[in-house]
Amino acid sequence: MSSISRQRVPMALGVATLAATVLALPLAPTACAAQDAPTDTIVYVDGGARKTRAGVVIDSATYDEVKFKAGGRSSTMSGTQILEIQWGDAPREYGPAWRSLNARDGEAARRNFDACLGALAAGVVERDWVKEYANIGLGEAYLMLAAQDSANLSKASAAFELGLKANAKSLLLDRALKGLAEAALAAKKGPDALKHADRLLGEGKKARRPSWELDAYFLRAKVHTAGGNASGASQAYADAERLAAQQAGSAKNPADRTRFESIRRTAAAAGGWVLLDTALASKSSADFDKARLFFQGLPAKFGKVPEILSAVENAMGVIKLSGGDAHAALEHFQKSEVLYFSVSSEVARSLYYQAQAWDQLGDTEQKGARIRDLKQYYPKSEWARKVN
Amino acid sequence: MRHLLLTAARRLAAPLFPDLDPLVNPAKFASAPGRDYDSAPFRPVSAGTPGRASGRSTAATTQGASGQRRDSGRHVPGTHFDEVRMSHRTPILRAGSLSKGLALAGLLLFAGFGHAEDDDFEFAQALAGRGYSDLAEEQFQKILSDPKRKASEKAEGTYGLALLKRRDAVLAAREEREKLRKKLGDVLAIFQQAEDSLASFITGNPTHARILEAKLDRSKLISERAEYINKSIRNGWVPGDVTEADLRKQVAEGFDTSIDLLKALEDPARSKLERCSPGTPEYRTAEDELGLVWLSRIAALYGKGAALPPGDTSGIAALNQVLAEIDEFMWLFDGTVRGLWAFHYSGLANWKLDKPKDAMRDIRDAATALTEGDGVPAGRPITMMSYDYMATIAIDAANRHGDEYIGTALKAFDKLPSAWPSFMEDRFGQMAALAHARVLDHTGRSDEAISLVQKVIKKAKENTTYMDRPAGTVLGEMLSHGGSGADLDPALLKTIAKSKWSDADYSGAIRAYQSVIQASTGDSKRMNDFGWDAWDMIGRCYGLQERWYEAYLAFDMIEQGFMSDQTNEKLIEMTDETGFSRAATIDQLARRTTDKARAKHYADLSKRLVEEFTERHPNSPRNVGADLAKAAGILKEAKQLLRAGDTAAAQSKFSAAQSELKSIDRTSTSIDLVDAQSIECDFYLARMSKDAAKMNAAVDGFIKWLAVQRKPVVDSGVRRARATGKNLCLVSLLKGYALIPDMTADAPAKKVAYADLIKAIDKWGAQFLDVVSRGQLTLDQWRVEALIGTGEVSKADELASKNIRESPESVNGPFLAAIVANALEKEAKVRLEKGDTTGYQNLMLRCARLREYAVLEPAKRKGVTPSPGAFVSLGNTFREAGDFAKAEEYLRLAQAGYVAAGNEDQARALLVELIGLLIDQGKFAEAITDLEALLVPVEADRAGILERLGRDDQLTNVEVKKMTQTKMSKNRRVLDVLSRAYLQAARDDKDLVRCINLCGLLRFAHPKDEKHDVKYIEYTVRLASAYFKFGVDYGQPDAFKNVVKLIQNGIVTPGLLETYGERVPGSKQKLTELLNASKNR
Repeated sequence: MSSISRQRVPMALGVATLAATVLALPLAPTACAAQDAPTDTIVYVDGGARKTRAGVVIDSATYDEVKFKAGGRSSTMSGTQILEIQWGDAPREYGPAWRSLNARDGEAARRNFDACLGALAAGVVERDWVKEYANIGLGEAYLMLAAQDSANLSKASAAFELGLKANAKSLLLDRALKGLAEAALAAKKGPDALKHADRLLGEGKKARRPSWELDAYFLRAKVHTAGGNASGASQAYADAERLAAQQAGSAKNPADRTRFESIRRTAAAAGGWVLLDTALASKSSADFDKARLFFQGLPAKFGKVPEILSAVENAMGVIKLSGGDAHAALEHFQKSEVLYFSVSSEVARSLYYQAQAWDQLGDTEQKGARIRDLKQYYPKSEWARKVN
Repeated sequence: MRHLLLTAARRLAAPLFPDLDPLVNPAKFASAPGRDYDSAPFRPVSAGTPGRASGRSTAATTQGASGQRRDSGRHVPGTHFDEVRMSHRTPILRAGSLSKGLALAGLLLFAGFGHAEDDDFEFAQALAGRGYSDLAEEQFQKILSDPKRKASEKAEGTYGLALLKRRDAVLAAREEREKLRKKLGDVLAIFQQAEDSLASFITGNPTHARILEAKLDRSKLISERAEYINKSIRNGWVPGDVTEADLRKQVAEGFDTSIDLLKALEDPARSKLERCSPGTPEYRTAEDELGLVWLSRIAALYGKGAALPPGDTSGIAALNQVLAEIDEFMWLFDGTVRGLWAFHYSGLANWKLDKPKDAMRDIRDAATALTEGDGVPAGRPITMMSYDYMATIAIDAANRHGDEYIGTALKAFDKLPSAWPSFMEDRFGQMAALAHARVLDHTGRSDEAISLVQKVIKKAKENTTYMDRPAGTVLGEMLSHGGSGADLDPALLKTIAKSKWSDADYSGAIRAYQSVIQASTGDSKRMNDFGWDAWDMIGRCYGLQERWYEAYLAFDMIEQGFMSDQTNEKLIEMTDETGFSRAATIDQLARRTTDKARAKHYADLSKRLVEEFTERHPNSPRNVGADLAKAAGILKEAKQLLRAGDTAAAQSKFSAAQSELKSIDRTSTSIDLVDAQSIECDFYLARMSKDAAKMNAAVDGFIKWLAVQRKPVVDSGVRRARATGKNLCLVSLLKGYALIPDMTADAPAKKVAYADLIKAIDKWGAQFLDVVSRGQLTLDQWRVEALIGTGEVSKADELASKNIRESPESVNGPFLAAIVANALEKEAKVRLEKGDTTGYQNLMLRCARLREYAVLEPAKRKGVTPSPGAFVSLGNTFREAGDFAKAEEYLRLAQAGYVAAGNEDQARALLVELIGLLIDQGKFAEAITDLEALLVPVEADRAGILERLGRDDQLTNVEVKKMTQTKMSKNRRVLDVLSRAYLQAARDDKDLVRCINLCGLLRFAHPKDEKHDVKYIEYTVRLASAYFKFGVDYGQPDAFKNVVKLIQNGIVTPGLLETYGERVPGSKQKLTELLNASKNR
């Protein structure tokens, strides 16, 4: 059993001494320094399995290929295999920055990415990848912060552009272009947003990344929806559905097939919501009929799976609700909640609309109870954000 | 989602102030020589272990037993080695095996024998620690009121009661459930009461053996209060009439006060140590004391630093001071359990100062310094708590700085099983395991994390550590964001769901049962074992929330399952009932829908569903044949008539139903249910006629039905009929037993009936609970009534208290409290009759508290104020119990209530009662002056009248008539209270004579038809007492003659004295004593 006394000074001094020594070294790499230089790790997919290759030094990384040295030998890996790069010389704020983004803490993310860029400027980090990755991350951070202050939108765009300028064929190109599109959309610059979406589509084709193309289609749909262009949105969803179907058909492994099938269903349902939103805006019975028929046709086309069936029930409920039949609407929403409880996005939607239906019926207690459930069990859903 | 886990983890993690007792609190254990506690070095200093401290420990080794002064001027420990052991004073209360019976038996055992005062005190503390606050209070009161004990020993009772108040404060502060949480102001008031009690003990007993403990408790209480305020700010529990800024100020001030109080203890302790020679027993004692106080202050400093907002300069200063002091602390206490605590706080302080590297280093040291093989059980809790905090710190550091600390934490956790092989056996180790799971989940190893959490749940249930609930919460959060690959155990998930169901958290239960279904889908065995039942429970949960359509959907899922596989035995059996529920829920919806068209739609649907049910499940007992239908219909009508209060018609209907039932063919598949229902008719008939013999016969009938050995059958209809019949018999027989005592007039027979009820509950209770949802409340109510009926009032009290404690929102609580209070009052009067005034007061105090709850709680739930009459009742009860402060509080509330209601007379009358309280408290002069003013409002007349009343007892008829005709005599209550005041004050002979005259007037003016009632008896006793006292104090032999005349001649009717004793407890004894004493004068 080790002693646990407080004699820590020598150790601390040792670390400080080492740090001082490191800092005193010339910045130009020497043979000794090269041996001591941090190495990178490539996380990639090979034969459907996730693998890592550590101890490499990456020379360049684009969506086409990643060039690296390992054991003195140069190698390349196809960009399409790459899942992630773990940079060995990443500033200490780098990991926390991405985690902050995942945790939706925009301010912490911004701070950390700024620190990363600061480290680059100070020469603590030498390689340019920081400029690319940190700027793209910074762009996403600003995008998050734009919810509180729209002045951050232009900062977001600027950061994304800087990231792409550092590497026009970045492995994170999709994130940058999506970010640019979102920023433009939020700034009510629809045409600009569409341009970015289209660029993503083109790059996706070039980079042989169907997921980028799918993202692009969803972005287009979003832009068209925001612009009131229902047919454009519908077309975009249809394009996404078609592409996802193709990819599902040609997928080599079951996981990919399942994933593309799910995207296909999501795209299909999203197309239906576009029609329904149009109907809600126009209040035209023809539009409602169109939306209703669309949703009712989904199970036959995509199978009676919870994702589809729950969306159908919710859609029918919305149609009934808009027609003033709150009781009938409730039945649909309740089916979505009770029978398809595994589809959390639709359950959240169901709870939101149940509250609306109870409100229409004048039952504040039931309305309040549904809102409480929505906030307690689905706090991060867009529907919970709507009631907040 | 990680953030949620962190939040959940913070709730799970050790409280900010880990309980230093009994690990580092030697005062409790070292108050007598020869105790086997020490300051717990856990390795021999002479061993000279390697590591960071090797240099110093080697130096210590070479210094030998006497120790030497270092250059720093501090002593080093001598080379003693002892093992820390837990106190051996709580062997009768083992975790997990305590039963109420044991506790009571222990209580009785200790009550019957003389033993060291420490035993009683610690026994009471152990009771409190197990949640038996009422028994603990009783024990402390015994200590306090024991005439055989010295003042210092009695003072322990006061200290113990103060600790109970502290416990109440801490429990109130820890409660976070919205429905049970008290308001901020109310909790702070409890803290204040606790602090006042402790301060009072400290001030009143400055040299008591437990004074150090008390001072430490007080400072800890103040810190806990500050921490509670901080938590309230964090959780947004701040009421509108106070600002956050004010509360933050209170937080800082609270911690500062605590720290200052501890410093005031520490300085003399330090000086004392420096005066002692190392290695001596005095040195060890002084070192113990210093270590304890110093560590407490370090904990308070940390508390302050952690509570204040990040960046707050005084908070940062406090944390830095923690680190500086720990450096010093370790010179003395390195290698001890206290040293572990110090490292723990060092880790926490570094964490709060955002120094993750140092934080992880220290907390990991605290976690890994000890192993199970070292044989230091006192180090187990701090070790496991350190593991828990290590996870928290590592995750927090990973989110803000980098993942390196996660790796460190994981390495340490990997070694935990080998370091502490039995770590999962208690709640501390299970907490460490959950911490490990959190780290795994953070690194994306959700499947492993979920497996580990499931292991914790299983172990927690096996060992009853109650960690299954927090673990269930963690599991739920993990499942919501990942872990789809984890092999979820539906049995474990079911237990989580069941506990949410028991807590009436139906929304939570629904989600938990959904996870059971997810874990069972795709596996037909699991669906049969767990999945279909889960759908059933989901339906019931929705039903309890009155979400009828949702309930219908859940039952419909089962029905659809049955329709797709009609050979599934499980579904065949289930749907005999759930098929009915499916229709019943829509029926409910139809009744509750106000929209007519919609209601008709549901009614039509319900009809269709009933038809489907009849067609699909013909053997269900719910689907009775035509002959049964008629009998069932008559029975239903009979019950409706009874509910409506038409007893005569109901009796007739029950008889008719019984005839119909008896005419049913014996070959019917539902014959078992028919027989049970026939006995049920006997039950109702007996109930309506209040005939105990008939009810006994019905109960016997149910028991015989249950005793019949029936051959197993395949036919589900027969099985369902038997099941329904069995449930009916179980429930009804217990109801019958519960009704019989009320039907029995003869007291001994009533007592036997209550005893039979208890036996029946013991025998059939478990089965009853399987049938009746929330049946425990009913059983407890019956048991309480039965215990009272059999004279076991203290057991009834204990059960009622448990009921109230565990189900605070139950409607039963106030009712049980009221009946137990009444029973206690009766028992108190018996004690008084026997001359046991102490016992009387203790019981009355308990009665008062219960009555208080019984009165205030229902009013609180309804949001209304109790009536003035209720307050008067409470005031009088507390007065009888000797709690005059409470009595005054309630009488004043009553007075205010009467004033608000415009009832001036009653309000004025209460004034007299309030003055009466002055008398009870010995404030005679004040009371008498006020009462005399009330008696003779006109000041000019007062002196003369009082002079006459005090001159002699020879009031003339004229004088008496005049007095009885004045307003004065009409105010009988004033006369009553004043005469009592004169007697108790007895400042001079005039007081006694006035008492005599007033009693005489009261007796004279007493209504003839109420002669010998309670008041008359009281006047008589008082009069006799006044004469007797006059005779004794002023040497007046005539006075004794008057006593004899009054009693012997006045109470001549045989048995009248007995009656006096029954009506006014103690009066017979008192009058007999006075008579005998007077005769001998």
